[in-house]
Formats: sequence, structure tokens, C-alpha cells
Amino acid sequence: MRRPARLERAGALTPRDRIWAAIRRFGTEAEFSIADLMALSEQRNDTTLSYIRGLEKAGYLVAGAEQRVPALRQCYELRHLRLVRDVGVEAPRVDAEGKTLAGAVIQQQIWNAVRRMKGADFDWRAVMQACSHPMTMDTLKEYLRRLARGGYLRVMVEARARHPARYRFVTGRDTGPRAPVVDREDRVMDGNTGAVAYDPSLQFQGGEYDR
Amino acid sequence: MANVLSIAPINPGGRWAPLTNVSLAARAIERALNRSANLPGVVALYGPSGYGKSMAASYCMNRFDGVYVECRSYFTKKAFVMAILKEMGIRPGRTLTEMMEQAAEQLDLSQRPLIIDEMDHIVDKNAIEIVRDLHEMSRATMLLVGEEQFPRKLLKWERFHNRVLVWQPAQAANLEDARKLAAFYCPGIEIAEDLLGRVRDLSRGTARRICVNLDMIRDHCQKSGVRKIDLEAWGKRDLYTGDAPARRIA
Repeated sequence: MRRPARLERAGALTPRDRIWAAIRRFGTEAEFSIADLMALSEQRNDTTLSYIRGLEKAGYLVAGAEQRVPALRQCYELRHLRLVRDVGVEAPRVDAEGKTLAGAVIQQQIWNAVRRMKGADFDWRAVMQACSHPMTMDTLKEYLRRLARGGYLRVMVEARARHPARYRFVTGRDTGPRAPVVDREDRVMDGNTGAVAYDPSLQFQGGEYDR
Repeated sequence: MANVLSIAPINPGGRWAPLTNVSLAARAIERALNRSANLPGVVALYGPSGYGKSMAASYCMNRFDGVYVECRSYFTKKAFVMAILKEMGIRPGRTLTEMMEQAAEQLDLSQRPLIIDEMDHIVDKNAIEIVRDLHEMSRATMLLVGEEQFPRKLLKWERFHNRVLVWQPAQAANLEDARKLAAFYCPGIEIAEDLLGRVRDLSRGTARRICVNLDMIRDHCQKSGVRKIDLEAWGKRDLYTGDAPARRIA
């Protein structure tokens, strides 16, 4: 059998990417403890534990055959796990309950759709036609506005009565497959480079990407 | 407020009826994903430009969590594989061999379908064998999107031609598609069959042109405050055909 190819994620790594990459390094044969994983991925226990729990519930990991003595059962760090479902470099997007993160999927689908517009002008309706995940019009429009603020979309025609805003994808800002993330503070962060594309808390609002 | 039509709420609840080509492409991929192990997993979607193939491919990318790569006329073999790796978010290896192994392994592990748009460039560049290699190495499901002549061009590569499980020609937008688009683009406005038929005919099967026309109809209806419109009421107003205007002689 041929030796597996080295698969390494390009670009900025999220904590989850690091944890997933660390898990993959053990392969599907070896068992590992959560303590090993924290050391290897250099992540804190709260980040690691919630993600591990989600992965276990979603069926990516199973409890290892060899567990520590009962007295230590409460000690999560010493639990042994094994990877059973290796899906490659892409870290599975699950919450602590093992469910797919819908918000992340929606943003990803919108990002996928706008990247495929091939330089043409579009409005939200064209984007919705290319999305398969249910989403509301407001979620979609809001995310498009954020993308425009982050400099990913150029506003070709401002929204006015009865006419939705028309955008064009800025090809120079096609940083990669991962969707820009909008966080709780309304910042827009690039999913590929990790750079902050828009920060409303900054005084300087006439920035390069602020349109 | 007699003459002003309030803007109807446009919210299809996040779902809307997909157009014919979108369903055809999705069904073809589904067939390939559920094929028995000994069958090849390549699906070809082809048709004239403007038929919404890329839109269908975009939808399929989202629906099946596919890896989407758009070919360019200047792509070499290496550039093509690098584009795939970029879409997978993988740091490319140094040699073409290494990169092919990376791409194949990721396809195999993730079980995500690979969607290749503008396939004609790859065929013209005689780089089709690389797609075949990738398929052999990963056994991944692939959707290849090309222009009308794509199947004929592929004939030259018999070994590849044999690996296509489904040949799916893209269809011109029909009246049913026009009706679906009208529900989406002109919510709350009833457009009579005759006007819709005329829009479809003038748009010559291109969904994008139908959308432009529907926007014009909606705009007119809202300005004049009507909720129903037919061909007669539309009268001699222009509809968009996409043709360049004819020369006018004074």
C-alpha cells in the first residue's frame, strides 16, 4: 500500500484546526488521551473538551479500549479516544452536542455562491438560488452587507425602494475557500488569512476596505 | 395609498423550487454518489452558455459539500492541481506527483464530490488524463461542466469517455422555470401565462434574461399599482432579449 500523502492545512489555523490536525496525527490506529491532544495542539482544555465532546457525539471519535482506573474517571484529561472517521484536513464543523453548526454552514454557502459569480453583478436573490441550506432573506442580506464592509464585495448599485443592492465580487479579495467570519462584536475576520477585514470599534472608518 | 403597491414580503423561507437544470444536475450527482462500487463516478453536464450550468454547479457544490474548481484557459497540469488543493485548503507539495497524491487522498477521505467548471479548457489543453488519474486514484464522484461540444471533444479520449456514468445535457429554461422565477422575483404579482411565455421566448432559454425581464415587469407593476398583468396590459413596452440594438437610420 502506498504511503499516505501529507495533508496540511494552508493559511490561518483556528483552534479547532489545530485540534483536528493533532487528532489526525495519531491516525486511526493509535489511541490518545485528551492530555496528549492538548499538549500537541497547544490548546486550552475548555476549547479542546467541548470540541472533543462534539466529535465524539458526531461519531468521529470513539472511547479507547484502554481506560484509566475508575478513581480517575472524572479526570477528563486522561480519557483515551481513537479516531474512527477521518475526513481529511477539513476539521468537522460540529458543536459540543455533535450537531452541525448551521450558522457556519449558511455563511459558508453564501461565500461559496458569491465566489462563483464570475465577475458578474448580482443581488441576494441570485445568491439564494445557489444555496441549498434554508436561510432567511435577512440573514443572507446581512451577511452580504458584512462582506461588502470587509471589502469582499463592491456595491455596484445601492439598495433603494423596490430594488435590492447589487454587488460584485472583488476577485483580488478571493483569499480562499473559507468564508469570512462575523463575530459577536461585528468584526469581519478572514477565514483563510485570519486577518481582521473590518472592525467597527476602530475610530478610523474610512479604511481601505470600508465602503 | 390607492395607487401605491406595498412591497410584498419576499421571503421564500430560505427554500425555493430549484430550476430544471439545478434538479437535473443534483439528481445526476446523487446517482453517482449512490453508484455501486464497480461503476465510474463521473457526471458530465454540458450545454450552451447561459443555460445556468454554473449556477447548477454552484448549487451542487453547496448541496453536496463539493470541492469546486473553475478552469482557466492558461491552466497547466500543475496549476490545475494547485487550484484544486487551494479549494481544499491544503498546502501544496513540491512536485506534481506529491500534489496529485494529496488531492486524491483528500477526495478519498472526505468523500466530497469534485466539481470542475469550464472543463473545455482542460480538454483543449490535452490535460484530460490528469482528471482521469485523479478519478482512478480517489474513486471520487466528479461533476464536469462544459460547453455544448464537450462530449464530442471527449470522444478523442476513449479511455476517459468510458468513465462517464451520466451524460446530462442542460436544458433551456422552460415555462415552468419562468413560473418559479416569477414567484421568486415578482412576489405578490400575478403574471399571466401569455406574458410569461413571451418572456421565456424572448429570453431564449436563458434564466438570467428571464430574471431581468421579471424585474422590469415587477417594477412596472409596482409603479402603476397593479397586481395582475398579462401580455395585453404589458403592451408594446420593451422586454430584454440580450441582443445588441439594431442600427437606427434617421
